[in-house]
Amino acid sequence: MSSTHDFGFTIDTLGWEAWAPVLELEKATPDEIQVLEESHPQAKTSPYYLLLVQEAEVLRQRSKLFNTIMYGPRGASRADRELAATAESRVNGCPYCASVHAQRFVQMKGDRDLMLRLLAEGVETEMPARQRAIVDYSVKLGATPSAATRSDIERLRGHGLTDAEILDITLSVAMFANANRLMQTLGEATRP
Amino acid sequence: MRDVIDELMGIEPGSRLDELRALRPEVRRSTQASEVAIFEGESGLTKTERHAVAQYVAELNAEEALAAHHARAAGETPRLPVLLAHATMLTEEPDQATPAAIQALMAAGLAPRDVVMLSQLIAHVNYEARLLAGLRLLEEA
Repeated sequence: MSSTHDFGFTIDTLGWEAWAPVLELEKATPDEIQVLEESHPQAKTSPYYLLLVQEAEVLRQRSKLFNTIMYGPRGASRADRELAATAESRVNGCPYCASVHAQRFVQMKGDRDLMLRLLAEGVETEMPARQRAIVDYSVKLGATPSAATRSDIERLRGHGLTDAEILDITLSVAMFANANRLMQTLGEATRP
Repeated sequence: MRDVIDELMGIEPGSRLDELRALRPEVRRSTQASEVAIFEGESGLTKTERHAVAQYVAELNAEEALAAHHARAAGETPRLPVLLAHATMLTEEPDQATPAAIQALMAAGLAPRDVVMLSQLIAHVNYEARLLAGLRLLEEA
């Protein structure tokens, strides 16, 4: 049986193609244009956002949620949030999500070699104990929420993460449970 | 402001979890506004269908309180089984997605924007299930 994993995982920039009709930009209402502009700098040329904007208010609120969870100030480092997001995307099988967030992880001074191995070999690849604890928690909570346990939280605290940081990691995993499902079931990754 | 997550978990104002969540006020605002947009907005999906799908996705994630929250307003329609089949795939095996799955929804009478609404709804409940589970762990640990 085919799987969205079969495409393979890369840190290179990928394209994305929709499986359902998208909004034609010239037919967009002023409100739809505004939601696109609030959502992502390239949303007006992105089939993904042009598909989602057909439910404009739902997209508006989801974009606010996404942006505060991934880019909000303080709390967990941006690199740690991106690590959680990419690990979950790798397990769920969303090559597009994984490539975008692997790139962001590296931009945020995350270890590029670690990320390349995570993409190529999977989330079990070797990594320092602190990152291991973040990835293990993210993978469990992402796959089956009830699989994560108190000992996962205690392990994160043991590596110096505050509860505010652990909540941010949790939010990143929750957001990517959402993002992976939209991205990998409404269309597919393409090679440019 | 409080959101559906606070209500379902019984997070008391001034409690440790309340103060932790207060660090990300926009999460509360947009989680609640997403609830309103998804379950009360105009859509080709009936409100009872939307709540039935949400109840089902909450059950798949073993989130009883979230399931009960939607069960009150859930109801059946002839095409509900098609919507639930899509919810199973998205929730449990999203890597099995195919264009044929979208075509099956359109064949059941869903317009493209209804497909978007259904997908957003299922994705949103999967988000909530992980946030609830993580907050419970932070409360207990």
